[in-house]
Amino acid sequence: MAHLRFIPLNLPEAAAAAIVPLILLASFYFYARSKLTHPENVPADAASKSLTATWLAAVAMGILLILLALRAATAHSLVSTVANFFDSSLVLALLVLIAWVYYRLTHQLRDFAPFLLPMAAVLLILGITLSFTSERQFHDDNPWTVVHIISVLLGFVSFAIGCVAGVVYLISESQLRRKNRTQWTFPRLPPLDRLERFTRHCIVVGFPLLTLGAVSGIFRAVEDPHALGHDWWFSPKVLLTAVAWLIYASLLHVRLAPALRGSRCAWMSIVGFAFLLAVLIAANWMPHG
Amino acid sequence: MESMIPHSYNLLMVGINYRTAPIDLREKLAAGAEKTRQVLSRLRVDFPHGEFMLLSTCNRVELYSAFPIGKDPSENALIDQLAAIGSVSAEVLTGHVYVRHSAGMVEHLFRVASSVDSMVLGETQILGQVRDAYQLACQLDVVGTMLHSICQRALAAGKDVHENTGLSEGRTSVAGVAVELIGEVFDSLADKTVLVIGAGKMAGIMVKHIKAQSPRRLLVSNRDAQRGSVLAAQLGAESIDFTMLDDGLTQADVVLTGTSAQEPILTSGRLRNLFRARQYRPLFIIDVAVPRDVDEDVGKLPNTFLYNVDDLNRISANTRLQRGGELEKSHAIIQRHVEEFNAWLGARNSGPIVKALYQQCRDISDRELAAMFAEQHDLSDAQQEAIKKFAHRLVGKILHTPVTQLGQHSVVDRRLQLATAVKELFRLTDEAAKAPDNPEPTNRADA
Repeated sequence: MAHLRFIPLNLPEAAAAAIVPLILLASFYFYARSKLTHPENVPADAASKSLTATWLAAVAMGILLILLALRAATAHSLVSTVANFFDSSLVLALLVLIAWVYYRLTHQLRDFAPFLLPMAAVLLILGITLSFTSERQFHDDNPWTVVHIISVLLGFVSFAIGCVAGVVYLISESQLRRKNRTQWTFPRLPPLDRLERFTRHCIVVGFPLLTLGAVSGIFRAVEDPHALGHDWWFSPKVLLTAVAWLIYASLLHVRLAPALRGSRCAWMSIVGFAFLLAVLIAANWMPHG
Repeated sequence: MESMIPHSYNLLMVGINYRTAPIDLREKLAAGAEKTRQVLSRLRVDFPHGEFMLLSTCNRVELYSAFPIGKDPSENALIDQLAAIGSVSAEVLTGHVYVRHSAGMVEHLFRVASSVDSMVLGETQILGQVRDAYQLACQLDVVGTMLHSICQRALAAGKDVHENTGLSEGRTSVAGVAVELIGEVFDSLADKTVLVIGAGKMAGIMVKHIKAQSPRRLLVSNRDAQRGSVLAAQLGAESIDFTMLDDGLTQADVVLTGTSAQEPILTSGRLRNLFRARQYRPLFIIDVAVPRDVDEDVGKLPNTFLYNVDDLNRISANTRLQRGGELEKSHAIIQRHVEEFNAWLGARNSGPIVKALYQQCRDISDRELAAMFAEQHDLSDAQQEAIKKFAHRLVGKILHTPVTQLGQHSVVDRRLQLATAVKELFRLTDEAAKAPDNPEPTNRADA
């Protein structure tokens, strides 16, 4: 059983990775400054601020790509590139940023897209922090591992986008309920029903991936019972995953649970994602494999 | 003074709008396409020298005209024509009608086309209405050089304002705000049902705006079933019995209430009971009734959004404030277009005068040169040529500044005064200073 060597982080790489979330947050700040309106403070030079935001995010994306290419070049295989927390958080952030580019170009969700930038930043910060506390690495000689990693990553991105859509829904709803626009307001967010539909789309895409990830994870645990310990099914990782899975499953059935519409759907997409993040952290602290 | 200005055209506009005249008077004068045709045809017969355009919308009726100087009718004659559209006497219009002359008329039309003068600031409809009015006048051949130029520039100014300011990015009327807020909840109303409760006036205005969003179904329910079905017929809506209101509420996505009921008819308890039947779909309620038709608590229910007239007014006022900057930007754009037009007009009007002025000075210089050459026999041909060149250059240099001022002085009325002054100071003959294109009816469509 050939164990993969963890590609150690060197200082330039860690520094470059740490700069990216800062750039992303700065980008979102500029975007917010260009959009947020206030009766006494109509955004001046909004166009140039918005352009700055786009450039900053593009630069962050460039740094991420270079970093990933460097890391992949020293790894054994593509899978091993994403088989640790640091690299997989780079991939997650990159996928979220690709989604940012995509939705920025759509007509329907262009004003939603910039909210993905802080999400990419959070994922990176979490990944970098976790990689300093552990050097855990998957074994890639098991095909279930490959399936597990890929499906979990893609599912994770999908739920992350759904979570952002939920946050934007709640922002928009609170603006609507506030009824006065004398405070800072994001004008022209997508309509609530479009955001809710989009949240559900994200969950519809993420759910099978999460299921596949869980099942492949179980197969892996069964094939290699020593990797996770004997009581793996009681581990926080598995239990938290089960909770997240149930939350998302309930959201899929609007017809059975129509009460889960509107802000409840938004809240649950956020809570579900919080559980997934908890899984990530729990997985990091588990003793084995 | 007016008659002394060497202005080849007199521009005159008379009109009424939503600020100056009540709705019933505007309705009387409002002219559809067919009526406008008739009016313009009659004007063509009555004033063969004039150019006309009639702009008629639900918020304004304005008659624009341009006449060659000396052929222009009085203000009152034009007001009579305006009154005749609605078959009312001119006295009825007293106190409601406004008049704009020359540069004032140009600026007014530019402002109208840019929707800066509209009831709903920033609306884009008016630009199309100005275009239609202009095209109709073109079809009837009552537009000539002057109105062609003014209308085309007005359309350009309107387009410029809409494209380069945020003015038209939202509407500021209360009804417009309501429609915008609905748009923050629902993607489109094409698959949504709108329920109107009550048949009051305010609700009627609001419903027209919402209907413009073409909802899938429009339901009307009124305590007085007969009035309800009349309103439903007017709106092309389905009427439902007031006792069956819960059914309507179950189907509705947007509810507009404006009844004269003294007690709230929609309470949070009533709506909560319908939640299951409504499948917890979002509900947007607009309450335009005074006293309120909807309990304040309703706004706290999940997935339910409640706005009353005060809320809408407040947001509308905020938005107007926010758009203050855009309004200033629009004014600047309009001013630029007005100045460009004035420069064009000035160049056009001062052209003949400038030509006559140069001619006169060159004549003097040629005469004096000839006299000098007759006395000074010892000048060589080359020397004579040099002196001639010098004299012409001197004339050009001396006249350069006054001529520039004549054509490009920033204040159009001042420019006209200057032109008159030059004409008098240099005793330029009327013949020389006359506009080259003395407008004849045959000259009409030359722009």
